[in-house]
Amino acid sequence: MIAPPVPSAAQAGAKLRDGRLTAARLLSLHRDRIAAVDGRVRAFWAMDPRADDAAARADAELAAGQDRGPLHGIPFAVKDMIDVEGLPTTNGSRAADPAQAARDAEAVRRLIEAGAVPLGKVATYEWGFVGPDPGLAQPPAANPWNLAHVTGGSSSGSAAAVAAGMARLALGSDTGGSIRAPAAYCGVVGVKPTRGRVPGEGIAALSPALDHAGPVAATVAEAALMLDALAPGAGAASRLAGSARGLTLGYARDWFAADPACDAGVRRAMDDAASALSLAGARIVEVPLPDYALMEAAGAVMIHVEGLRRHEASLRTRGHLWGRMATQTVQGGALLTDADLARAEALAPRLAAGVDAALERCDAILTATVLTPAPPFAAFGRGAVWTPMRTLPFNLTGHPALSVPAGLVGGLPVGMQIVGRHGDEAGILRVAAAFEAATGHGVHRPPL
Amino acid sequence: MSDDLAALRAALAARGLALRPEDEAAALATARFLAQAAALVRDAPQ
Repeated sequence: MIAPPVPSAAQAGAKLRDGRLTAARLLSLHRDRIAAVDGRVRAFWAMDPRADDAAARADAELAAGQDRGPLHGIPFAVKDMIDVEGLPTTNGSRAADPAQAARDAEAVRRLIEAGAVPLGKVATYEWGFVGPDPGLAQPPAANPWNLAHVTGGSSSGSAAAVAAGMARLALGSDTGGSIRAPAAYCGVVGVKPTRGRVPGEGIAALSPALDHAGPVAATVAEAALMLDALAPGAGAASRLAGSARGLTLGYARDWFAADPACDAGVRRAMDDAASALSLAGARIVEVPLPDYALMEAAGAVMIHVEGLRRHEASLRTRGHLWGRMATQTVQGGALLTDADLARAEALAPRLAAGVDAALERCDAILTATVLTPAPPFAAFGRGAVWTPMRTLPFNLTGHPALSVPAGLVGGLPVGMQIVGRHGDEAGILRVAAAFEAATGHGVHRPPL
Repeated sequence: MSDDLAALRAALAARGLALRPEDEAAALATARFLAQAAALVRDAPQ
């Protein structure tokens, strides 16, 4: 029999506390599931040798009456751009420093401090740039809903591991949508917090002004628990009980639906999502957002100028070890200038003010995360594939944004993006929880 | 060779980087997209 998906944090937590389960056994259930399905999904790249000790410590502490909270004893996976003590941070590249990380990234440390058990490292696109590149040391992770389709990236393994039931929680990073897009494509929850909310120490930088770290989780409740551990004071989990009643939600429909690249199924899923929240008691109003093309342009300029600056020396000395897709992407930025970067940086506050203005009319904004379901791997074999999405603008403006499953289009998941005021992760998670409860999209799992 | 490709090669060479023949098309497509992006940003009202 194939090992089933691992239990939720709430289910496991209850059993850990009444003695029906131990953290050691829960860890073993995760390993059984990984052994059963990861040969096809390819999410895990390394297992954390500290996991058994961490689980044993969690059990000993609970036995002694020391309870660290809702993540106590719950395993989590870590994107391989994030330092985990004793393991190399490969960044998905043969050109990366092979040395083991001397210490955990601060985000990892906070999860361990909250009692969570470090399970292992999961796949990323090379240096967080672009993928899937079949020419790397590790083959790209596959979408658990259809193994012939991509996961999206760059937090590819984080989303795939959670969607495949190999973990309920994973840490990711997001510079232009790298948490939210794979979460949408794989049918899980991904949260990009407010800029600066989760510390970036120990996480490979791509574009410092745009880089964020945050949770990928199976459900909104688990994402909230993880966020509360990563960003003490967020207070997200305690506010999930509220319904959508009384909320005003801005639907930025034209911002995505008018794009010719938008799949008709995504348009329908988003309209259904807005209707579901209306039926759940929210008032839906259409809101304008700043010009998408301009926001994308400013963000793209920043990523490419800073990406080339950061990686120039590596390309010079170790370029023969780089994958082709990341090389092409980084080298394509060589014509940009410092003046281009300065203009993009100067534009960002005005674009952020435009989002703030929309948020003065509503409690949160609804829009699509991705404009199509995940494309097949085969499409990438024929050359570059544009995967249209609506994520990069909120890296530029720093607003918190999450993706929550919004149903299936052609048998593959798509996501709704919910954007909130700076610092209001709890607010967008509340909306997501109300949506998840109203629709049940979050309970669908791939047939692995 | 197109002017764009020559410019990209020169910009990379100035950084001590070389463009492999097999990377030319994709890198050039990225460079052209980014040139349009930079122009959009440059022309936006500040």
